[in-house]
Amino acid sequence: MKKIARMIGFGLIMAALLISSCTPATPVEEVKTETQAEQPQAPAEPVTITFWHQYDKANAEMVDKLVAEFNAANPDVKVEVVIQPSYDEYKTLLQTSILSKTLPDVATVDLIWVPWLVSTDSVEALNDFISSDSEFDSDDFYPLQLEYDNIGGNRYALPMSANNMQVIWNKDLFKQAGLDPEVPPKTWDEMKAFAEQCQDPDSGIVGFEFYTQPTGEGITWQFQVWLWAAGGEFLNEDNTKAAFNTPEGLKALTFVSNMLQGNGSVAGPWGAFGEGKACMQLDGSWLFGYRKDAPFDWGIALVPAPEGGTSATNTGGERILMFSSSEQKEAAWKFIKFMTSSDVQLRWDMETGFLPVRKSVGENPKYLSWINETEPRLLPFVEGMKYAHTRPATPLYNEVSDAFSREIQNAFLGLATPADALAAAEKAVNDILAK
Amino acid sequence: MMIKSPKVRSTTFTYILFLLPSFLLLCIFVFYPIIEAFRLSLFEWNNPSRAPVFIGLENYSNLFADGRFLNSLKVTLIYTVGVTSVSILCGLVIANLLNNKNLPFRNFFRGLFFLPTVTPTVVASMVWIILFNPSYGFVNTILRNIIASPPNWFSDPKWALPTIMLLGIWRRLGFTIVIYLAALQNIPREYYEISKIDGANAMQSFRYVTVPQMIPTTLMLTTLGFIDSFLVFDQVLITTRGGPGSTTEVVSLFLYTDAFTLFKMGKGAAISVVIFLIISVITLIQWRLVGFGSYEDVA
Repeated sequence: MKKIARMIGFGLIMAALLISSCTPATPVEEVKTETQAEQPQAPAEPVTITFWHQYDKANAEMVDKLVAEFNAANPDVKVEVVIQPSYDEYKTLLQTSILSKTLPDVATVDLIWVPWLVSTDSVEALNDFISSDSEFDSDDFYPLQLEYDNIGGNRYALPMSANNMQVIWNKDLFKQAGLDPEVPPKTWDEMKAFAEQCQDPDSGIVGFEFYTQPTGEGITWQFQVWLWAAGGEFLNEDNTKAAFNTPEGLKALTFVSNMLQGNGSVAGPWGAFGEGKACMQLDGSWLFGYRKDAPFDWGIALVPAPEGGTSATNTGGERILMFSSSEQKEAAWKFIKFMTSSDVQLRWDMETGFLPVRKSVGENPKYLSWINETEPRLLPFVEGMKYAHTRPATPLYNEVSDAFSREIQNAFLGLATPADALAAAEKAVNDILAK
Repeated sequence: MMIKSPKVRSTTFTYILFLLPSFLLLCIFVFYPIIEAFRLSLFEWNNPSRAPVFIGLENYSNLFADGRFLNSLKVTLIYTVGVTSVSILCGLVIANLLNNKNLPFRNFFRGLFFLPTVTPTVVASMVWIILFNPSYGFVNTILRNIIASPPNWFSDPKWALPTIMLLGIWRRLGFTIVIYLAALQNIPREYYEISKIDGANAMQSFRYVTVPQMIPTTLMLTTLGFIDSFLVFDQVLITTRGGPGSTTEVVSLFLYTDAFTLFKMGKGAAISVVIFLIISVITLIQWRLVGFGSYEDVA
């Protein structure tokens, strides 16, 4: 019996490995939030639609509040909210849900997932809903936000929230290093000079904290800011080839890699800034959620421009969409329309610090005076939207980003020259796009 | 049916009845997925909405032409050999020290050395990240007093893998010590008495009595250590996620990235089959070397 037990034990070890690799991962535990609103005297049984989103903390509470309002105002529809808190597992869950046909009716997802989701044929095009709905004004969305989800002439999603990255600097560390704490760098040269003056290897203080690990979208999406500021592009017009291996791309990678060799920066795990151990970093407008109570004084400035160039930034955010498997498409559209409406968006942005996706919010005097009165440090993010670029809308983006970040890391770490790293990245990206 | 006595029949039936639930569970959750993995590895399946396309052995030929895959095998092998050998060497020495009846607080030290083994990997990895943080980590705060610029540990291509290996050794050590301690108790005391009569000092009796008696246990620990370390995953995922570059990308992390974040299920299945075969071969070698029943000493 002992032998059998051991054989089974051995089998289990191997099988555990295979199971872990071959069956869909267990879905994240679903956190169901009961809608608080009491149903007013509904004549018939309301239709139920499920809504998945990945907002957390205060943002998730705001979602619950909005959903409760929607349910109260629409007795014929009941929206059930499910939070998907982990970025990577959310994507795995969507993959397995497509397979097992258990997708929700409506979901918000990271905008870079939209082209990939569309390529799985599981997203409903919104064209008919938009054109037959006279109340809906799609011209009110910022074109940069809107054009992203136009795939093959169809509109598959609407912007729910937007963000971008700017420079955050630690005024205390600036002062300590003898820099003027109120003057952030405006150009790349200044940025490097400030970083070099501010760094202090003996106390582990980094001048400018670059995102150098782990491999993946974090590296890519932060580096794209420097690439675009240098005048470069990431992929070509129709997303079929890499477009970053150019003099502009080389300029950006040389600038970042050079600083990372101890000239104002070193490669390291992300997070030094939050520990008060970095003078500057790029961070997104979501930072207000965790920097408000930082034990140091900080400011926000536009991304420095290279000499003779302009600032640039990368816009991210979430999109709201409807899955084609939904049996309640009319109710789903009603909910999407509610969540993206001007009124809701205004309150949403003021509550969460997300950036406006609609002109009627971004140009709303109420919104602008709210910024000036309560959080003027949001202004560079709002202003920076005019320098924002979006990542290429291709279903292969995740794979491209993974390969790109893997190769340019070698330049960050001094293992390859910027030119060699760019060439290797170009080859890796083109191999993926050629498939 | 008539030849068996009712008693034998009912005991056989009872056996089957007791084995049935676990056997069914194994079939559903173990054997079926294994077979399915072999099958899936012959398909290309990159889109959950499309049917898998049969491509024969192409996943395998692609794998062995893929520098990233070969690199991940190399990294895994370095990790496995390093962690297994160091934890066995240190384990043997420490177990001997802890076996000494004159050691004060013996049980306290035994508990202390076993603690890392029962610490969840995720917790241990998080602690490691904080300890080895280049800016505010405990390790570099101390080191800065001694050397000018201590390494960046998890971010330095030269140091990232050794740092993860140190974590692996630290966690593995408790297990090897416990097994060795059990094996040490099994050495007949007469052997030491005889060697003493023959004039052997402590070092010599360690070398000529303890070490030879430890060979079966060591072989068993080598195999178990090899299997355990070859599957290393969570601590790499949490500390470096394979970086910097691909210097710590172990094979199970490679599998995870491609199968679950990029949805290349056929490729992922092929990788898992390769891992399965490697571990099977190693286990078979161990069975040949020490036999199936060699756990007897320690189990």
